[in-house]
Amino acid sequence: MSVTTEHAETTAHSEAEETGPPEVANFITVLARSPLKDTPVVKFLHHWENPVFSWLIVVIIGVVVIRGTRRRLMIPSRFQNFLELLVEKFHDFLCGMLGKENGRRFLPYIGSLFFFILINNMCGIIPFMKSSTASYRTTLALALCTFFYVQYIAITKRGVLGYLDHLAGEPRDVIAWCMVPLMFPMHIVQELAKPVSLSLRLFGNVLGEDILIGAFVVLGIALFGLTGFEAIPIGFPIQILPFFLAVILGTVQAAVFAILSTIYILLVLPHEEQP
Amino acid sequence: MLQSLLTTLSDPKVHEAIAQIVTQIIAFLVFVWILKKFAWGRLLQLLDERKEKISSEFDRIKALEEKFIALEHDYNEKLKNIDVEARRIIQDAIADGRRMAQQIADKARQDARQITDKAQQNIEMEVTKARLQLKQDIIKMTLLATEKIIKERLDEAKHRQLISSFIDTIEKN
Repeated sequence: MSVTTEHAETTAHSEAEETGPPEVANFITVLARSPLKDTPVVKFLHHWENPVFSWLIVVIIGVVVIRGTRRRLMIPSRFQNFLELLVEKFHDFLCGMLGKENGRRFLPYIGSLFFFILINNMCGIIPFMKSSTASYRTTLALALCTFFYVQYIAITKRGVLGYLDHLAGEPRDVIAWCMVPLMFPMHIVQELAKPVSLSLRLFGNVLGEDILIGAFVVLGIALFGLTGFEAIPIGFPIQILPFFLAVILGTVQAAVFAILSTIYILLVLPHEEQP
Repeated sequence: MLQSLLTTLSDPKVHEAIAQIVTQIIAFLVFVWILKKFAWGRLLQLLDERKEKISSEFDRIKALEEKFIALEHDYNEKLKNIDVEARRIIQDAIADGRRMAQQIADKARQDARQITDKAQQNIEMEVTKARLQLKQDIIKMTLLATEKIIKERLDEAKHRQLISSFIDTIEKN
């Protein structure tokens, strides 16, 4: 039990080992447990673990995308074809929801949001990587981006007075005006609830997946320990089972976040611009 | 309330959380910028260009197809007309040939007739001439015979006229 537990603890570490359930170790936590743990670089990486993974993804995807689209061929290579397929499908999907003009306008934001979340979610199943979306700070940051972007769109499309009118429920008769004291704070609360619900939903789901994977890793190591070879630092790879769940849920959660952001944008667009 | 907010913000943990959130926001905005600049914009533009190119190619192919169909129709019509034309040319040639043959035959016939007429005229002229000569000879011989019979010289001019009128009477009968 003691050896098994030790393996489990080394492999399934958590930055919040004092506070919560274990997560699968990533390269930063491995460094933080190595003899280099007291170096300033490792300390910095460990302290800024989630932003580091986010930036890592930004850099990797940035390089891949820049390289992939550098030579825009009329007869595309396989990789360019793959990128075009993603872009076209997302474009068609958004245009279906927002109309052609708005779909094209908001595609860069919504599309990037989807892929950022999706790739972050998928990092949870890549060895030595981590889903930074399992941190509430990351999901709150994304939700705040959407919140402020939606407010910006609402104000630029409707004007300040138009947006206030929208928040007041667009009163046009006496009864509607009487409802304004109720509708206005309700709309404000509704707007403020959007980033909270967006961020909590994503955070909870991704954290749950990561914890599940971590638990399965621990379980695999524990089961391997029962075979009598507990000295070997390895476990049964039974975390493959929640991997499939993580892929599905990670994709669904990215899609939900992106779709809800699209709907929030759609709701603040002037009526004549809504499809 | 403001005091409590400032107190909360000055808490190192809150401060750190805000710093991380801002860093994540910046990371995401950089991600959006990169994708907007290098993926969405470029690829959508490329897709549009390709769509337009394919569309124009299809239009061009359609126009060419229509042109080829028109040309094919035109050639078929011409092929059909070629048979008719060839038949017409042959017919014309045959007609020309017949006409020329007719002309040649007519000319030959006319020439033959002219030659015959001329020969006839020559014959007639020769006959007339011979007859005249014969008449002169007969008159002359008759005068000579008569002079020998009567042993007297006759008046040549008067007797020549008598003999000539006699011969004319015989010819008429």
